[in-house]
Amino acid sequence: MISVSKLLCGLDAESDGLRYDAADGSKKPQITEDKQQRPVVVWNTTKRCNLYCEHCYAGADAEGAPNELSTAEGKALIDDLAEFGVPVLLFSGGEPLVREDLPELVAYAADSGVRPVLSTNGTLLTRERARELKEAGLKYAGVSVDGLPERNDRIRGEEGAFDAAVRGIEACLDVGLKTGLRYTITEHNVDDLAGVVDLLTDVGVDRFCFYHLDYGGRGADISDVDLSPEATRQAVRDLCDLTREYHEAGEEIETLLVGNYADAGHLVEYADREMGSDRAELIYRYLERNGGDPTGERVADVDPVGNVHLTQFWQGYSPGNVRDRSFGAIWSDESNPLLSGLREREERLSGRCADCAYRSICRGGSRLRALSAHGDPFAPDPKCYLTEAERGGEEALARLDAADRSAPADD
Amino acid sequence: MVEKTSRSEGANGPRSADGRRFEVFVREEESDPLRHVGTVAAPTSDVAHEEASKLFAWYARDVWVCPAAEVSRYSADSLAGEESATEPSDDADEPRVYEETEGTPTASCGGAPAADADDAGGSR
Repeated sequence: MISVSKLLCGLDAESDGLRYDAADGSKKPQITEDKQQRPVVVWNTTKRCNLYCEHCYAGADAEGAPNELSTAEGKALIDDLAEFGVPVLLFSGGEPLVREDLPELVAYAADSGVRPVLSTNGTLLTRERARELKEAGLKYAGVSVDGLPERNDRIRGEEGAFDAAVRGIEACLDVGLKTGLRYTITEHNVDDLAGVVDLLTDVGVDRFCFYHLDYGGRGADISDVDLSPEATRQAVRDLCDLTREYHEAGEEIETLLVGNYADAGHLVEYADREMGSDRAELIYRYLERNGGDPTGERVADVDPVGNVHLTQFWQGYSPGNVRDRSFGAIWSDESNPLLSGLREREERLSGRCADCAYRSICRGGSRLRALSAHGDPFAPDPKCYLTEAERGGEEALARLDAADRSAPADD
Repeated sequence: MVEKTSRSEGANGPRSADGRRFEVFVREEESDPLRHVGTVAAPTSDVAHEEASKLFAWYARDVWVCPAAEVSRYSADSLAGEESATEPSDDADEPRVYEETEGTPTASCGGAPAADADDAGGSR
């Protein structure tokens, strides 16, 4: 997760402490003073969902999964996560609001010292439910919207889903809950992106979180509508421009990019071209702290029946189930060769990722896409959109002093 | 005298939210023990072997897979303790591993039922 608004515009947010250490000099309180040592955990609390989105990584449906974690098991899981030092628990699904015990679980997480946040399609969020969740301790709601009304409803498989999601966003904002947009970019909706930002900025959304398509669940079935590298490059450049325009106009929206760490190199190159080498160097240092793609390290997932996954998108493999042993025991078990391999992936990356000048701030991008495309978790991410010259360090990096880049950041 | 461990089978039940899953075991060198490395989602044992091989072929000499729904699990602890687990057995001599998983595993569990009702509910 890369904060474009932080890197290009200097906007501080509470979660920047997780991404870039305590955002030094931040005006806002930070979640942690140290670089994140434990993963943010996504918990797919249920597989049930009232919508049927074309790109759903969880393959959610109306049926749900048999044997989903009970309320008591959910609380025990939260105890495990708290004991392990997990900083943030993202309640996700399916649609988490179909679980009647959601406020109880949110309150339990908050009381346990794990910051509870929510990922929802927003269509079931009334003001009453938003207030109940806020009072339970919820800190943030991310609502998925994937296009302007007609396009969004087609992607989400339900007429009226856009309007219902916007009502959900408004309900959250009405009760004072920080609320953001989640938008997965594909060929189907890239043209709506600026229009959605425009529309929801007026609604008052605090954060825009843009996801590259990852090839998990139903997302793997639509990899043919993923953007080409050239189109991805253009979309990210447009987002950078858009973010800066909003900030220059006094709109302090937070803009995040998720799911393709080629964005890291691209941001350095963009800053070097548009804002100068000093900004590019500052961004490089922040991204070095951020640590690149977080798979198997700074993000984890627990599915509805307790299987742990290396990211929420990579549901096809699990190193263990929390019904057998604690999350901490599973996550710390580096006798698992894949887990340990991912944690030393820079030594294992192959092809163009192995020689890339940006590998220390990207770390190979999506290992799931590499696996999907090449059958090898250490092969190159097929969706890297940097140019050969950029990967070779012949552009922005050639203008940054190598010694400065490797020095500890002190900004 | 060492006190014997009391275990229950509270952790049994469907283990997949996305179709059938297989437990995966790998062995690095011939003299090494098999190591459990997790589960993969797959419709058949052959596909499970293929998926597991992508993840561990660079490491493992042997890759064994077994349908997750065919494993009976007896554990000293369950996630939610007594609230959801069945009562521990009074028989402290309960074998550590249920007999269905003992013996010599085969390279793949090709005889497992193709339609696994416990793991039904999704597809990949």
